[in-house]
Amino acid sequence: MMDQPEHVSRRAFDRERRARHDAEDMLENKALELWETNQQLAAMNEVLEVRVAERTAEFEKATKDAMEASRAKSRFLANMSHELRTPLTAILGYTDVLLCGGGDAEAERSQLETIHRNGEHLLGLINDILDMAKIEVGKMSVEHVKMDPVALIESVREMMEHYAGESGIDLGVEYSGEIPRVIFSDPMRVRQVLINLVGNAVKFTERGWVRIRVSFDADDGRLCIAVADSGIGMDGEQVEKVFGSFTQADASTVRRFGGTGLGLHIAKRLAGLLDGDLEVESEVGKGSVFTLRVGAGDVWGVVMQGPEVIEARIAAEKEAELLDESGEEAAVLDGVSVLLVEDGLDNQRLIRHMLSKAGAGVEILENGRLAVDHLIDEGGAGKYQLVLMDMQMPVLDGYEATRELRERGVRIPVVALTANAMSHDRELCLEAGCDDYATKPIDRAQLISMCSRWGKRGESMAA
Amino acid sequence: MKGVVFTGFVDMVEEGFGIEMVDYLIDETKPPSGGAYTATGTYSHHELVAMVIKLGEKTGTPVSELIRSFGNHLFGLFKANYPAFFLENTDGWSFLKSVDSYIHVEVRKLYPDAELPRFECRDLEGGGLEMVYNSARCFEELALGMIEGCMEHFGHAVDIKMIPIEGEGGGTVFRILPAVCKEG
Repeated sequence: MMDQPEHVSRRAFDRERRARHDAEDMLENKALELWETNQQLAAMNEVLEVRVAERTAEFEKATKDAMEASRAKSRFLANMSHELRTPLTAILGYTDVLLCGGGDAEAERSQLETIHRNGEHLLGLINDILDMAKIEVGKMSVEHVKMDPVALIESVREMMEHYAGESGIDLGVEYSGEIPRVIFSDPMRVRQVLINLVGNAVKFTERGWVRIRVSFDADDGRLCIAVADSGIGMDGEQVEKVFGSFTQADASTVRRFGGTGLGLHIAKRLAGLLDGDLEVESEVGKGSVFTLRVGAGDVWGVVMQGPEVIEARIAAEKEAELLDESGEEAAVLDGVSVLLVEDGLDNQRLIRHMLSKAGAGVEILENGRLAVDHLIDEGGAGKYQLVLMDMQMPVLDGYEATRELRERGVRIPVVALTANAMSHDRELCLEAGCDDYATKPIDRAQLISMCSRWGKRGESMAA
Repeated sequence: MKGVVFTGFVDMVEEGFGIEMVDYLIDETKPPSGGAYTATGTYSHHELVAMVIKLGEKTGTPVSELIRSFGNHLFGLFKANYPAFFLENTDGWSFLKSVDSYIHVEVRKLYPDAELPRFECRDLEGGGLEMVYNSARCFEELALGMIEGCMEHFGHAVDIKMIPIEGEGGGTVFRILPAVCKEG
């Protein structure tokens, strides 16, 4: 066997050698391929490692955020629990006291008032929590209806004046520039935000003033209501947190000033829903300015009112109210006879009620034709000091009727009633010969002051 | 030591002295690997040294000369088997400089644990190159033979001086200078 190789032929030996060379080449090629594959794997591995690191970082951040959110919710629950228990404690405690009886009537009344006040506070808290929950799940919707911004702001002023007065704070409203007579928004929500802002301003102002500054930004079509105060103000860090949910400046704020810590968060979110925003500027010790902007909707052609007009309107309304309160209302339109030309039954009833309560005599006709016939052909003109003319009526509308009256020489004051607040409409009314113009829905005080003014003129004309 | 050196040696012996000489060397030195060499294997360099010494004894040629001419032969073998190394280098100088930076890098792709000698190159002022050879095996004669083979392949006439480095680490400096023109 050992001698075997010597008998191998040279050709066979060369074949074997070639086979060995081929095998070696093959092996080296395979080794190179393997090396290249390994390189690719290493590169991929590196990419994967980077990706894993990124994902890990993302995950860590998400976990951290979730923990932070969870802690905030826990803090909120703890605060809320405290907030809900506080009024409840008073309610239950005083109810017990009352049930035991034995107190005098005055003490009992004071206890009932405490219960009532705490009940209302509780209701406020619950409303805030519900609003908050609605906003969080995106279920909060807002309306876009016609509303009178001045009337709304004045009603808030009226409501908060008393509260501010109790703390010795001077609350005032300043109008600047031209403001549309009506805008299209959600009066309930605007009011809610405004009450919150003014309430906060008063709460955080020990003495001094709170101003509601109203203007209209015609460029972006937004009503600006800035609530400024001379209160304690906030530092940068507090300002940053002020609109957050579940947050108040610090835990001691809750103890000192109460509240849910939700009001401003809700207000900010509502402002967004109202096609606007809510911003704050503040300085410690100097006070804060919260500026609410509200989208006004399409106010093209709406009557614009400058500050003087607004002040005059407010003054007139106040005067009418004062008369109301002093019980002299009945005398305001005493001796004034009004012809109301109006086709709507409800409006007939409502206006008759308002005017008769103020002492006026009221006759009603259903359309312009009947009114013209009555005033001219039946000689009715001398019987009235004033005609209230609805503009949209069947048979003969207010425009045509007034025009005919003027053409036929009847000079009795005619006040147009219209559901349209567009300035264009006002011009149409005046063009037709009306002396003044009131918009529906009817504002009682405004209507009475208008009737009083024109009624007197009608009287002097008749004389 | 890489198997390609062994198969190259065996081929050279067979070519120069006949296949019987190969058998004789293997029979006499009794290499622990058994002597069935393949290019892709790795073997102890002692086996090669033993065979070279035995060849020297048998033929009466100095060992250093045998190794040197083997280096020369080995370069020719590389040229035939690895043409890729010759594509980028168009002259001997750049080829020598690429041994460490390119060729050995490629070798390591195939044989990650190969123990390769190191060649540090330095251009000399006024032309020429210095290569510092450093190897655990002290095959500087083999290196010299290969350098000569390389310069011959590229058609450079050169003078090569081998200067041993004294002291720690040792090694050898090859000073390669363009040959002084003897003609004319």
